[in-house]
Amino acid sequence: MRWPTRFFRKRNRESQLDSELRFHIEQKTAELIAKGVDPSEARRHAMAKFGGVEAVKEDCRESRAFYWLESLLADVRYAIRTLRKSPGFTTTAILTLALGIGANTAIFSVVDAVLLRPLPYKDPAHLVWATIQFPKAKMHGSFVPHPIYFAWRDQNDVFSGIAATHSEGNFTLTGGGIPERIRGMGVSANFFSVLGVEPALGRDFTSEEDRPGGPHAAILSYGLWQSRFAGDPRALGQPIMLNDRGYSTVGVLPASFKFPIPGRQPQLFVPLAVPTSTRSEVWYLNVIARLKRGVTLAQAEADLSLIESRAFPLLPKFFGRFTQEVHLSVIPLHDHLTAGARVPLLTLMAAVVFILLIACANIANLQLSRGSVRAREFALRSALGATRSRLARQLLTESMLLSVMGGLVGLAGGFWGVVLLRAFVPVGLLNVWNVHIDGTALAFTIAVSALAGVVSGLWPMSTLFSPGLNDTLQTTGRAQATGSRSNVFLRNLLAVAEVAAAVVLLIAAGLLLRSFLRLTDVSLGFNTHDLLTAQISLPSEKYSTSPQLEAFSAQLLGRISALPGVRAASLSTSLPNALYMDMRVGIEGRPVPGLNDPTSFVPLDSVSDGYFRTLGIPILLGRGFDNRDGPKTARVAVVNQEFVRRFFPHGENPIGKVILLAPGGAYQRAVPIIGVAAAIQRAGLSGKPLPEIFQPIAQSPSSDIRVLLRTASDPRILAPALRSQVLAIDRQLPLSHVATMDDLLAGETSRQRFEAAVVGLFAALALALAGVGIYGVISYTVDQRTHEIGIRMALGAERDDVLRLVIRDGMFMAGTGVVVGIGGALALTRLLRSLLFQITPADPATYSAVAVVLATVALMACWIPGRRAMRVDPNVALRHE
Amino acid sequence: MTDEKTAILKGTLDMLILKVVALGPIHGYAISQRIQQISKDYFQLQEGSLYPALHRLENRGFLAADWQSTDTGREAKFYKLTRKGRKRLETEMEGWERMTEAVALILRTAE
Repeated sequence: MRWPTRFFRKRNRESQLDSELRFHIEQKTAELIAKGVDPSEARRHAMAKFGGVEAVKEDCRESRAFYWLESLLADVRYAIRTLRKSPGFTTTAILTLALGIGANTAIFSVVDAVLLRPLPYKDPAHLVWATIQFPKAKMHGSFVPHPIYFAWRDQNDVFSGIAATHSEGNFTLTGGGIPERIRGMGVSANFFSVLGVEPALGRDFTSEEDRPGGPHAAILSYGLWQSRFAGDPRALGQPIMLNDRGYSTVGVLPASFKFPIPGRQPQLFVPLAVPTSTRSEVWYLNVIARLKRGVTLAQAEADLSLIESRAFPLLPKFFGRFTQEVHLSVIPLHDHLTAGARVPLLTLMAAVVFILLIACANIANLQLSRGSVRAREFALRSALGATRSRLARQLLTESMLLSVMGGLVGLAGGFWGVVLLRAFVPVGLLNVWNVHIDGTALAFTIAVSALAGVVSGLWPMSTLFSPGLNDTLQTTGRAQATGSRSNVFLRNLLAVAEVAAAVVLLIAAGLLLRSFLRLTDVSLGFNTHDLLTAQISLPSEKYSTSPQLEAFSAQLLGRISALPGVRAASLSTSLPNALYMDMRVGIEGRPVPGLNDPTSFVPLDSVSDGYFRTLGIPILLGRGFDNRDGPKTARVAVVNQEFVRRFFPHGENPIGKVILLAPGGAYQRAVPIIGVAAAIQRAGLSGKPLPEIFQPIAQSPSSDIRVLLRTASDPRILAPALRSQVLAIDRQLPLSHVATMDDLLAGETSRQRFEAAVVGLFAALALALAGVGIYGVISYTVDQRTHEIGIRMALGAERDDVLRLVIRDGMFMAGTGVVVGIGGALALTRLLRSLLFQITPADPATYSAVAVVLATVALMACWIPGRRAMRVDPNVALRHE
Repeated sequence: MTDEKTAILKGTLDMLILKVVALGPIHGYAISQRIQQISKDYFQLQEGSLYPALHRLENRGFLAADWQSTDTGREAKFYKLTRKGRKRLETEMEGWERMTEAVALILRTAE
């Protein structure tokens, strides 16, 4: 009898299992009938004696070797069928998840690139940044005076290498092609070897080149080598001109080399060549070092601190008063280079995590509504013998499937988001870093998707099983009758959590937005509207003498003042919002300040006599410049209020006091003060006012001129007229950087604008999701209470009462969420402090505005289901039962 | 069935099945009847619970199964002992005997 065996083996295992068990029950039934039991009673008895058929089958299946895979595939197939049956739910859930996951992927890829990935140098964990702050010197940032750097370099026991850098600012690169402004950086000869970077072409600096008076050498960045020299290897050894001095290029850095100075990448490096003398002047350096193995940051700090205190006597005399208060710190180089990006990025990361949580809560809520409908399906399957763990696995498979699909769509969105971020992130935040979705970001996305699946799937699951499944099976037909008390409570809890999370995000966005508006609102001390600015650089061949320069200025000023539509015009050597030239100054009759004493440096501008009028800066004391102050008359100066505050703190009258200027290093020019102007916000919107000195441009003419036009209407209209006036004087003279002051200032707030916009976008998403969440819960409750509402109306309740009832419930939920959210915001927004400007993290206006916005959205979300409840017909509702 | 009996049965069901099947090819229903008959209904088996054990023993290679006709001409799944199953039965029986002896010894001498 071989053939039936083969025949049966081919049959699938399920039907074999089925036949085997059926055979058993039939045999049993037959036996009982043979004993004289009634046939129908016999079968019932046989079944009872056997136990749950489905449960036995499941136990049999589980003994198979690859059963977990089989059951997984079955679950996935089943889940796909179920999800396809409710396309509305599936689409909503996938899109919501995709939104949350996509935003997380995009922001995480930035966080990963900037904050998590190690720096692209050899053994980056040992690289540190050593710095000192002298609070009394009132300098921006913190720098190391060069005598201390020398002492550290020669005496430390903690570093295997220590190097210094100095931001050299911009160079004008000439020779071979058009002149070009480039970002340069001065470095000690060992800078690249401390980082562990070797030039891709040519060689590193030699210590000979790092001495004052040594050969002038330059190392090009890969980018500059490509753009300026077309990647030609013959560029090596070629002479180039930097600020009219000859240098020879000795090396080219690898394309991958990055060293951001406040977020920007230098294009060219030159040796620092710090003077060896320490007595006469001070250079302020940035110091990087490589820790010896096994040395901790604290040990390094202790060693440097000891050396530093011994080196203080080496500093110039004027420095003595600053060394009374000294803060030394050694921090990982990575922390230093990413310091500016850390808080903004972590803020964005927190925002997207909130979005994801809200998305999960929304899906959990959707699952719960479905759960009450599906409870019957599960009760039935359970009665047929499916175990709870089996059903749980089924539900989990479903939500995992959703989150995997959401994750895939989200990943696509994340790629797109990274492209957007790269395009819109303001310069200086992270443009140096290589932001893309890599393995880490991918792993993060997978983990987030899995977590979202579990979080949004587990909760609904726990409620599915809490009511007795038998009760569920017995309640006839009406799905809404199955919402148990704990189910309703959980749904409300989720909606409250959503509202709370949305409140936190909205408050964060509100604070950033208000702070941005405050910043744009800052009174700079001059009228920024209707102001056109431009730049002219006079070539030195044609305009070499002071009279030539002065004549040009006078002629230009005469022409542009006469232009129709111009209310006032003036010239200056720098724009009131831009970089300025510092001049070393002293006051006649007082001790001469030490060389490079930071408090002796004051911005100095040459301005034409209309300057204060054009900008709308009031003269507080004495007079401004006028036609009395010509090239032939005595030199005069106007200072600002801040200058008076620094140099005449005891209320002396500054008018008539004489300022000593040291243009070349030595004090050589004495200028009496004739007036005091109000101070403007020179150091940027969030900076403090700086002392300033102004001289008449007629007395100190310059080849580098800024034009300022106060116009009657839109300043842009006057740009062509201005250009033609310049060309009328000199056909070869280009007018550059034509822009309105408002546009220039907008660039300055781009970082704040970006932060407010991105967090605002996320907050809007959160608000929409929370609105949908409240709507879902309320309309579910209304459906559930149709019967109750019907009774109330039959007993005489007015339609308005019903609406009020529904809205009261919803608003209670929203109110709870707002209160919780405000508590959360008070705790969390403190972390935003460094991003805020003139706004406290507990700004009451923002908090109340957010509460009102949320209440409005919640009201609308309740209104729609509330109207539906109003239209309930008591007859229909009661007959429905 | 009392809890006490269930506990004993659970630990020994595999051995009982192997022993019954060792007598010759036999289908599931007959195994359940045989165990109850021989034990004089001491073990009141929930009959379904036999099958997961049978399948487990089959999947672990202690039992082999094929479909054969019964006396009444119906197709049924018949189990028989494999070589591996016979060894398993021997070790289980040895273990069982040693344990019962030890328990009995303690019960006798501890009086």
